[in-house]
Amino acid sequence: MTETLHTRSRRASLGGLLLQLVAFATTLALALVSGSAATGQLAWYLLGGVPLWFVALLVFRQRELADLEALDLEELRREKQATGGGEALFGDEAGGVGFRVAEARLRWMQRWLVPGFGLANAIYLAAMGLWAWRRLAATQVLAGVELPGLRIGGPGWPTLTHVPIAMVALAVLMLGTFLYSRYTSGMGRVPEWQLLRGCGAYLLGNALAIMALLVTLGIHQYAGTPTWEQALAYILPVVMVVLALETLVNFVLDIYRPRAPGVEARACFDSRLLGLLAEPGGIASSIADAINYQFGFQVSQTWFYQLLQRAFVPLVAVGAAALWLLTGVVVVQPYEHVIIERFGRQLNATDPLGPGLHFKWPWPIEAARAYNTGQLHELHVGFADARAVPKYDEALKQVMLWTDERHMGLEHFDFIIRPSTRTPVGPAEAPATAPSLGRDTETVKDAPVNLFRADVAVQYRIGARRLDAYTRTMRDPHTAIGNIAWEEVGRFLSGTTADELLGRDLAEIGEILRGRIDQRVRELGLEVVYVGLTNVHPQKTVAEAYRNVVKAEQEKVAAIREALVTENERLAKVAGDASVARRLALAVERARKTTEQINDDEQRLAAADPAAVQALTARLAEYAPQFRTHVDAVARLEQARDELQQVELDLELGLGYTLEQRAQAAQAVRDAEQQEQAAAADLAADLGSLRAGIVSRLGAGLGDTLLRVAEARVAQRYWEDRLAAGFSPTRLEGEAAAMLAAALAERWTKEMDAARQLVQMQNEREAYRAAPAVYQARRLIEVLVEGLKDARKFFLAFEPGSRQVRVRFVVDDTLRVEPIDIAPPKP
Amino acid sequence: MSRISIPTLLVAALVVLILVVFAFTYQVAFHQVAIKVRFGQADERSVIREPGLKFRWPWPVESIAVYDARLRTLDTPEAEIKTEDGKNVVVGAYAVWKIADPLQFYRQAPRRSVEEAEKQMRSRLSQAQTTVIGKSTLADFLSLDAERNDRRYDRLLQEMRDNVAPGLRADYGIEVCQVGIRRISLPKEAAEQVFESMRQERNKLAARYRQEGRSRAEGIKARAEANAKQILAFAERRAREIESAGIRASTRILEMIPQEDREFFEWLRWLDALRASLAQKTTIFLDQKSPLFAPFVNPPVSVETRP
Repeated sequence: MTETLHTRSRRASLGGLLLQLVAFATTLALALVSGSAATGQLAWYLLGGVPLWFVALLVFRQRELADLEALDLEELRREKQATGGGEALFGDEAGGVGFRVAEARLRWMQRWLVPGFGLANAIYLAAMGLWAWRRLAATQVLAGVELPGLRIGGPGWPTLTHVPIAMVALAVLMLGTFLYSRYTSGMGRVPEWQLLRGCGAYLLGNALAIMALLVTLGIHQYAGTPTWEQALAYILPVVMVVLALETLVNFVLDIYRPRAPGVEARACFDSRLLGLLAEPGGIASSIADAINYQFGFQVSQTWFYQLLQRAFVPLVAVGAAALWLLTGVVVVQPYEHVIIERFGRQLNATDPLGPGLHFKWPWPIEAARAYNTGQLHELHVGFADARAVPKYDEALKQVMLWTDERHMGLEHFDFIIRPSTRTPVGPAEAPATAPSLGRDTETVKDAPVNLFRADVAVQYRIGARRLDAYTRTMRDPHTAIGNIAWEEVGRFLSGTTADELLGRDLAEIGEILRGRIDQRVRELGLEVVYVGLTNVHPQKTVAEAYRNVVKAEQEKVAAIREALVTENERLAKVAGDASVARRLALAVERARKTTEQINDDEQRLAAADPAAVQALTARLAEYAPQFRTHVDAVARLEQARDELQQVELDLELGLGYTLEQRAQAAQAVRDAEQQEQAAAADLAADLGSLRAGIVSRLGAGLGDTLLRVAEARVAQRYWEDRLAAGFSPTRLEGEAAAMLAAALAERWTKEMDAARQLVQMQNEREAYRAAPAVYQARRLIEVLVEGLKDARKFFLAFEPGSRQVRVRFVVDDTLRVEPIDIAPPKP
Repeated sequence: MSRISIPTLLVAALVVLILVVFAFTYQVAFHQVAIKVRFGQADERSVIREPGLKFRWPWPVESIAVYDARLRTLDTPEAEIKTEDGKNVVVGAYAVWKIADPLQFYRQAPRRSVEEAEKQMRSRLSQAQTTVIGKSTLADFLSLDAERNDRRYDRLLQEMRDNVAPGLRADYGIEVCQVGIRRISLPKEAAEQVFESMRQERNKLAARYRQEGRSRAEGIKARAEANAKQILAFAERRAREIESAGIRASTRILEMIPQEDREFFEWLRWLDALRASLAQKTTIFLDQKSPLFAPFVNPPVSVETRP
């Protein structure tokens, strides 16, 4: 009987050892064939069980030897008793152990070898688990290529193959390991075979892992999603590390456990966690066993524990049911809308649930799918990488200049735009924007293009009222809106020139783009909230040329301003005030023109009958006031036009004036035009019959000339009057005024001079008449005395006779005082 | 075996029920279309478009393939293409497509997978893109004249669609609903040339502005000078008029002198002229005949000696 029991335990552990090895080899092979990462992890997990079975085998063999030895000793003792001697040799029970070598070795094994193997197993599991995790998650460098860690559901996982074969093999393995673990766990209830319980628990863990793998491979096979299998590849290392930790904890606790006699030691690798799984019905008793074992007395016998144990199952059941029922409650957040799906069919796609508390049938009958309709999504169009997201924090560190190669850490995309049309291109110049893109020999006319850069931010959200379209139309609306935004921005810009882009209101362009994109994504259930254009600029090197243009424009304005200043100075110098001077110049010009016109027309009229002309001219002279009204209106119109021109020039140059003032000036011109037309009409009406008479006498051509002359004469007077008024010394200033003032003074002087002379003559006349010779001599001498007083006098003290006197004057006579070169009289 | 408690039985029954339900049913979501394959066989009746919970025989009798029936986007990588007018452009396109015939897709798509089908679509789309753009000109992509150009652009996209759509429909049961051009640009070298010409154009514009500034400034200055001269000339004329008026006035005054006084008046004028001419620095030469010189030669003896 003992013999059979020992054999059975040994066979059980040997069988477990072999099964474990076979399972390891099989899963390793499957892992290599199928490419499944989780299967590979499983293989290493399976390998960890081999030493456990091995140590069990050793212990059971040793127990068999110890029992045999005990049997032998018993036999020997009985023999000794029978022979009646040697009692002293084996009399002492306590000292007897010293002779039982196998028993001692068994105890040594149980004390050291089993925990040692347990510890080794723990270290193996921990090391393997960490290594396996690292292999998946950490970034690796392979042949110079940096391979990032694999993410669940991400790229880089090997494709699974031969899944059905793997599934069949795994199913067989699962069945084998599960049954064997149940079998050995059952055996493990016998105290002597307790080691088998640990091994069985480990094997059960393996069986569960295989089952999990089977499920994930099944999901991949039928649902096509490999994410579960990938997740398992991450879970298995975690399980291994957890088991390792548990074994370590057990190992430490074992040191402090009180040793009760007769209680079989529990191996540290006998996992309590797996024990729970091994007997799902007896979770409570597993816990109780663990507590009893650790505390060394029957805690589970206490009344409190008994109560807990009885209520445990119903409590869990009620909890699970409550959790399940809770899946019927839907809480919709303020930024969300929820569509309820019953077995995959949408119930309220057109009328989604708004924020608040709602109820539905529990899962899996109905599912609630929440859509974030509040959040604004943003995408950027304009960078070389079409799907890149700009780094705003980098943007904050720099000033964004046209001449930057990158903005917000991203390279720009060059949009094709229309070339500028504003620049008139001379016949000699080639079109400025005609890139030769192809071969040199191409003959087709170049399509001129420019390239420009822009950053367009498109902000959109899922339309709460368009959720049915959002969920039903397209699988990836967010990718689609990216494409559409790029397309629309590109299309829009291709019809725009650089000047329009730089000169137009960007908000207006943004609004146009928003409308276009929104119209296209409406059917996808999205709504575009905002499209903003920023950083519209040319390429780096072109940007400098653009700046040069701005500089040139400034220079142009500066030159014109300077000229205007010069003009004002010049005119102010002439007439005291630039505007007065302009009015005067205009009047001068008009007066000159009308005079010329009159001369021309009078020459033409010379051909007509002089008497008739004279008569008609006299008749026309009667209409001078009417002519005058018209001339006045024309003059005002000219004045208004001149002012408008001035305002526009100043506005263009930024020299003050507002748009409002320009509008006023333009209005003044329009008013003046109307008045001029009205005056012309009045004049025509007044002259009606007279004109007909003139035309009938002189013919149409000469008649008109005569009328024109009549008006020109009035105009000439008008301008002359204006000039007379303008050139009145009281109004005028400047050089012209000085000239007039001088002339006036001169005129006065002359008049006064004449008056003085007259008065003098009248006063002195009486004296003269009294004694003419005396008066004349006296006056002459007075003048001579007065005049010769300061004069230089040369006395020629010789008789000139027929001699020639030659006097040389020196120009700088005033500088040289001494008399020179006067030939002395010859003796 | 001991007797089994009723709760345990209930739980077991529940578990079995759940398993049975899972094995005998499947779900088609609102956006999906399913194909029920019985022993590898499928026909028109196997296509299930109506969403909801459906019955099935468990694997391996029936297996279910589910596809998303909604539109999908497929991007093509950006590639350099030569247009008909010899320009090279870099074009990235996209296609919007869906599985129009799930059964055909199930039968003919590579490995029945959407990803694999997309790979093959991509090469066809690239081909169509090269063909169609190769037959058009760069101007077709620019909206110089918005309306006409939109038509041309739409026709271009339509051509691209027509190029790929029938083949994909026949081969995979895929319907291409729309083809669009995501973005279009120039290759690097061509872009450099464009930048160069843009620079030239801008520099020309700058030069023009400077020239314009100079000529307008000169014009303004010339106008100012002309105006000033006109005004001064007129002022001059006025001044002369005034002066002549003065002469006229003085003449009128002098006309008031009676005839008998004319000689005396003229003599007075002569005297004034003499005074005026002597008022300046004068140099006088006196010879012996001059009465002024006489006193030096024959000094008068005395004033008293004269009678």
